[in-house]
Amino acid sequence: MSITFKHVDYTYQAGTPLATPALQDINLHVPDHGYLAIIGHTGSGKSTLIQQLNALLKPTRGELTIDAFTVTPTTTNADLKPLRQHVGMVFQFPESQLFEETIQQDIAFGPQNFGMAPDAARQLADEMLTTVGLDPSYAQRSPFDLSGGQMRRVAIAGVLAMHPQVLVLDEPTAGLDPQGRQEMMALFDRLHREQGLTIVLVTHQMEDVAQYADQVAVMRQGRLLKTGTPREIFGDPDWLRANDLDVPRATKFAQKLAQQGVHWPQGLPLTADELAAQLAAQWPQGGAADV
Amino acid sequence: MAQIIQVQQLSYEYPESTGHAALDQVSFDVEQGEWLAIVGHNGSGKSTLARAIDGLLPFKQGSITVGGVALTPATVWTVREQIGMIFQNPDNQFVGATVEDDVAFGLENRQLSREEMVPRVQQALQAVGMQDFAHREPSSLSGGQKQRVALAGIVAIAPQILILDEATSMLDPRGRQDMLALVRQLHQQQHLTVISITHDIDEAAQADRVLVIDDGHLVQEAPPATIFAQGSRLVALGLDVPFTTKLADALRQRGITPPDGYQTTAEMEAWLCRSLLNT
Repeated sequence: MSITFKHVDYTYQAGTPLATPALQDINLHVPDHGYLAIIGHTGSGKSTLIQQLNALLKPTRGELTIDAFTVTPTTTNADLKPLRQHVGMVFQFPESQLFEETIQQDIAFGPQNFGMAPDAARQLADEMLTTVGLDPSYAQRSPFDLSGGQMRRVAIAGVLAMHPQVLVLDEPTAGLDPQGRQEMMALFDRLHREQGLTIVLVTHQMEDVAQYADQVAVMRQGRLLKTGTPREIFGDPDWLRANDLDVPRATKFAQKLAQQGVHWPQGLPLTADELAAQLAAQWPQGGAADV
Repeated sequence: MAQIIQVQQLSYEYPESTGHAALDQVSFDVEQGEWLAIVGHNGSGKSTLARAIDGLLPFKQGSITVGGVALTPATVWTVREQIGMIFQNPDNQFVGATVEDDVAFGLENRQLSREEMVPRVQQALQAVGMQDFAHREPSSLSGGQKQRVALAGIVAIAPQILILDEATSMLDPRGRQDMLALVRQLHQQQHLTVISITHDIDEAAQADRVLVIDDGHLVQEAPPATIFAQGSRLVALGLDVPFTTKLADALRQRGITPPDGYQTTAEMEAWLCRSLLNT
């Protein structure tokens, strides 16, 4: 499913003396099967922006189109049910939303709420456990006996059970250990590649942006400052730093080498692998590219 | 240097676990003024260990001595006075309605007079750079600001030991860097002993010594550079592979051989410049 924002404004408590503009004139297009990363400082409007995607918040001006659905300031909640089924939201620390007695019941809750028969929903729940990399034997256990990383997988299985076509992820790896982070990002990448899900990822992890996203949106003070490929965005580290944002480790390292006189003919590298490849190409002797 | 903490043959099993020890005969010492990092993957037992030192765990086997006092149910309050602890989730540790009330809480518990309390709260907030937020509600702060207020609460009571239990893991990169810089400053200026339980390689790199806990056992004890030299095995230990190690591996795959062992960013940069630019 593709996503298009057209001149979207959003104001908290609009029409009251406490009105606070949170989004201003957002124009953005994410193609079907796209992978968008949204970066920006705490308070820049990232979370407000993604809450538009399943119309938890509706624009106060402008319109948002997701495939055949259009959300405008006057769209009613009754019109939104099909949209919400297609857009899966994984909020920060989603494990805090688990509540059922067994893992199977927790995952089956969403589909049953949308009218699926209990038997079918339970079967679906078991399939989803496998999808998120948990053993099906977990189905009858309590979600509260699991580790933090496992609980988060269960919460994500609950979202995937709705068969969303867009998956919106708000800092999905925060608080996990490095191995858990890697596994979680690999899971989303697999869903993106194998099932064609459109992914919208809010993150502070620039390494993940460089590795997985094909489009980056930079937010600041409620405005969309820039969009581009990771290469375009990270190709200007000074601009990012001026906007209080980081660049991937490899890019930072390459920039330091550049200050010492090392050249990057193919542009600043984004990963350790690209960095090594460009170094090998200009290595004085014995480097692979010399022969 | 004096040993401020001695842990000997400490074992612990959670009541609901069947025969599986969360800690199994763990022994180590911490020197006064040392910065010790404890690493291990999720569920390895490292947080259990921190809780045991703070007297939050009724262990039955082994002993813990803090500042010369053996930890028992009778001495737990004396021991805790020497320790300040910051947990992972900044939202779980606020009690005050305003930032300054929260910082004053520990002092109130120690029955300080108002005359003594007011300047100490102000100084503590200044030490963490949060003096302008004294009258704010804690809920209106960012995660990084909340952890700094938690740190101010500890600065105010001036304990000997600070335990950080994944205290930076929920912060954004900027918040993490600020918090670490602040802890480093307190460590140096106030000779604070720091124990940091962490998954963050930059945080572990600050330590004088790293303990690796795996499945309740103490499996390794070494300076950060020795720990970091283990390359991809670090992921199994709950840490990330350092960037310089990833780069060294990628170079080796292309027939270029960097120096052996763990290289800091500056060492790697210097070596590459020498090799490429003949300087």
